[in-house]
Amino acid sequence: MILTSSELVTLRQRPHRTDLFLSIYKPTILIQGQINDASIARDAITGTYDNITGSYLDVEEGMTLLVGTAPTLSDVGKVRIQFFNGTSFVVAQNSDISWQNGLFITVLNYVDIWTVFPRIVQDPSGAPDEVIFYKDYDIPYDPITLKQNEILGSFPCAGPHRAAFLEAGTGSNLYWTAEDTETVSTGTLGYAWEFEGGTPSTSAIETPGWVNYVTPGHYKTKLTVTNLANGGIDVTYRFVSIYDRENAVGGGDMPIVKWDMNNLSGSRAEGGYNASIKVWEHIDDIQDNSLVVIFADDWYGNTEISLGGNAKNCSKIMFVGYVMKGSIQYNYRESSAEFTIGSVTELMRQGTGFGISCDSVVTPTTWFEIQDLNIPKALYHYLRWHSTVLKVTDFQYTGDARKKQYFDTDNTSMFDAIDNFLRTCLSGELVTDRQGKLWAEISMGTTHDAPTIVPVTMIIDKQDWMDEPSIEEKQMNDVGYLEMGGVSYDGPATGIFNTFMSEAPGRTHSNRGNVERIEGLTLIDQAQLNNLTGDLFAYKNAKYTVTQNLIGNYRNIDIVPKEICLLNVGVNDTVRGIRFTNKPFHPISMGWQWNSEKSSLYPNIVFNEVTNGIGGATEQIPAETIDVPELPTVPVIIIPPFNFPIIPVMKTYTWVINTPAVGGIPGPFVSNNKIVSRIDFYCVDGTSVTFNIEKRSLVGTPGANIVVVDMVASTSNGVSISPSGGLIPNMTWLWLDISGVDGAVTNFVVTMTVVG
Amino acid sequence: MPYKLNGTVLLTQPTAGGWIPRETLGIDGNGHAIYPSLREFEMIWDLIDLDTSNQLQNFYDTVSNTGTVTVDLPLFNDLGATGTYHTYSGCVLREPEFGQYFEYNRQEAKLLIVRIRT
Repeated sequence: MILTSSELVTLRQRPHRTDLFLSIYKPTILIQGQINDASIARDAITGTYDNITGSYLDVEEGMTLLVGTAPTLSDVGKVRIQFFNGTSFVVAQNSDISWQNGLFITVLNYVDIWTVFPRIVQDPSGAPDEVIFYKDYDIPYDPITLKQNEILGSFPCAGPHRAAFLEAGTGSNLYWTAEDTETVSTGTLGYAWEFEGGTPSTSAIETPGWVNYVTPGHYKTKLTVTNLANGGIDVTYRFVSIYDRENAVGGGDMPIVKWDMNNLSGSRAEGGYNASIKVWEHIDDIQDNSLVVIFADDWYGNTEISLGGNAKNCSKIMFVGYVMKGSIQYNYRESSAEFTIGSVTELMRQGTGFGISCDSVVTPTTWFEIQDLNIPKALYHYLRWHSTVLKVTDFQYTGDARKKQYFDTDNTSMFDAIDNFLRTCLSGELVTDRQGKLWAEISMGTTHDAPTIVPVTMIIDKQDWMDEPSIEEKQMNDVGYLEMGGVSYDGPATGIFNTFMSEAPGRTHSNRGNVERIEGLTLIDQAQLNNLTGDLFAYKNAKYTVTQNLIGNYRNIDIVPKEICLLNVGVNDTVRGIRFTNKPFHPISMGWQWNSEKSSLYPNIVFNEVTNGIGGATEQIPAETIDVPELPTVPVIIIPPFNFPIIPVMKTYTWVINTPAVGGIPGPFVSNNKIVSRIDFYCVDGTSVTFNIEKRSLVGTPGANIVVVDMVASTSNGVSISPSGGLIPNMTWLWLDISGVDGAVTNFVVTMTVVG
Repeated sequence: MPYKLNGTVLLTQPTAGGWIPRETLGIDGNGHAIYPSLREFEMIWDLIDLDTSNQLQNFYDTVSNTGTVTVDLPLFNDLGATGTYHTYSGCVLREPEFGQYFEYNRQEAKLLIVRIRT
């Protein structure tokens, strides 16, 4: 936050005093009931209920449903609501809830951060390869009417979640504005506010301004943003906790009083803040992902005023975060509870999203096509349809709307999906500020002419820092050569894309440093890439990093959005003799130390030097067209005709006759010419069997014998003969002719082997 | 004017009392010490009767771990006549400390008052 000159004067008045208060939002219960559905089982997404307490009329899509063994409990699980009426409900896909008839359900007036999973099923009325794509479990993609990939909305911004005290005579006045809301399409935006517990209770303008609260409690504010040109609608909620002051007449609704905070710290690399909280009060109802707001009373000298914070007129809000899952620990000996709180980015890390892949087209006809895709549309598509982040968090993208042909994310956490996308395409980052707003921005190192265009928050000199600043000075480059490359895309109308590469410092590497290569960037043109490469090379080799404590409550400084602090160090201030005269640095990490007894709050900040690089050099990429040399003429090879040799095939025909008698037994029909190679025969019991094998052109007309003399099968081990000239012409029946049986022969076997 | 807690005169006034020097949070770049904005005051009794020790302990137990008290103390940075007392509100009590008993009295009692806005 950039302070005015008079505010800066106030900021430097001493001593500083800050009292911090811990608020844990307690959502009200809209409706409770008991499952009345004997068929409900695991994986259920619908169910019926009864034994109702409360009303379903205020239940909205996205709210949280608790499932438990008793009213208000969530020991069985919790899930996002899709639909709710007086008798039934529809929830998001789930497999981690052991649904049973008789379990208790509780609907909280609260929206959590969830991953939203799409669903693809085979179209029952279409061809086998046709599918129906659902953006959410029960919201099919509709390219005709709803056009979810064409009618795009906005990033609704309503400010941070709030907590405040009622002041005697005035109540509590909270400021509301949607001025940071940005559409990813074109068109004018319309606003509809609902202020539960506040006066006025509604508003239809962008900045309603101050809303007054007079009764302690936990309330919900709802903002609906409508794109008046295309009808795109986005809804976001903020949660407000109003408390009595200590010793307030008739009061008693106080925030957490007996608590302590250990080192609230955050960095751009981590994407946000976290802190450890210890409470010596009864907080059995605290749950994972509970919303936490730390708010403050501040004095600078004798002036009671809060300064700082990125949200307009919300300077009393020091930090907004959530109780991290699995971090709640109870110490029964000390009667205390400890838990970790983290920014919304920490919560996004805990939810794994669906891998997605989208293409840019002029007119989307299917679920994986987005109209004229660009960076903000890609971010909107993911956050709007694959998470509920936009429902409870301000989001601002500060880059440009360069076009993108493809948008792909892995099956990874919500945070990594967006952060990796920004890092890969823009060399950017996703970072949360202290008040809980998500910023998607291009990194300081790749912001061209950053010392000039990035806003200066304040000039820091000796009066501002405490104890000794630690100045780290690099004597050698970390990076000796940097190569970067990427693609620019003109959009689906032309489909033209260009590839660019650039190198820094140039064709010749620096004498020291590693080689780094970055590819896959989404670019504008070669000149932009050359600037980017040169700037990043200079930033990675920045000489100075400064770590220092500041003397007090400088909440006007934050790790995001990127901002510059001009540091001053005199030549006699360090033994090294370093001189900084309004040298630009930017905060990359901050840690806050708070002493409740002394009411002192001061930060430790790590500053990185802000650099300006000389442009990188263009690397020529070979042209797509390659001259192929003319091939020599190959003479035609004439192959003379030749006959393929016949490869002989061997086959056997077998007769097995029990109790043979004189007479004929038909055999197989031979369709091709065959040569008899051998005949094997034997009999069992009795003495002998006399036989021959005929070749018949008709099955009923006797033919010539294959063997001139009849064969005699005896009870020996078998006889084998190889008749000469045993040709069987094609289209011939084989006929076994038994002319004599001597003795009680029980079994007679003949096998004839042919080739051809 | 006597020492008071929440407007009630202490049954036995302290043997001694004094403003405790503030510990510096650090030194700024110009060499100036950085102090917290709140001060502390300590009352000491060499010997205290049981009624007064009970009064002190009850004061602490009443506000316990969450409440604040008003305390009448010697005016900090008194420029006027000696003995001027001022009522400071929103102060926090530490639990009174007592030494060994001596014939139904308690020795070396101390009461520390913190978070005093002067």
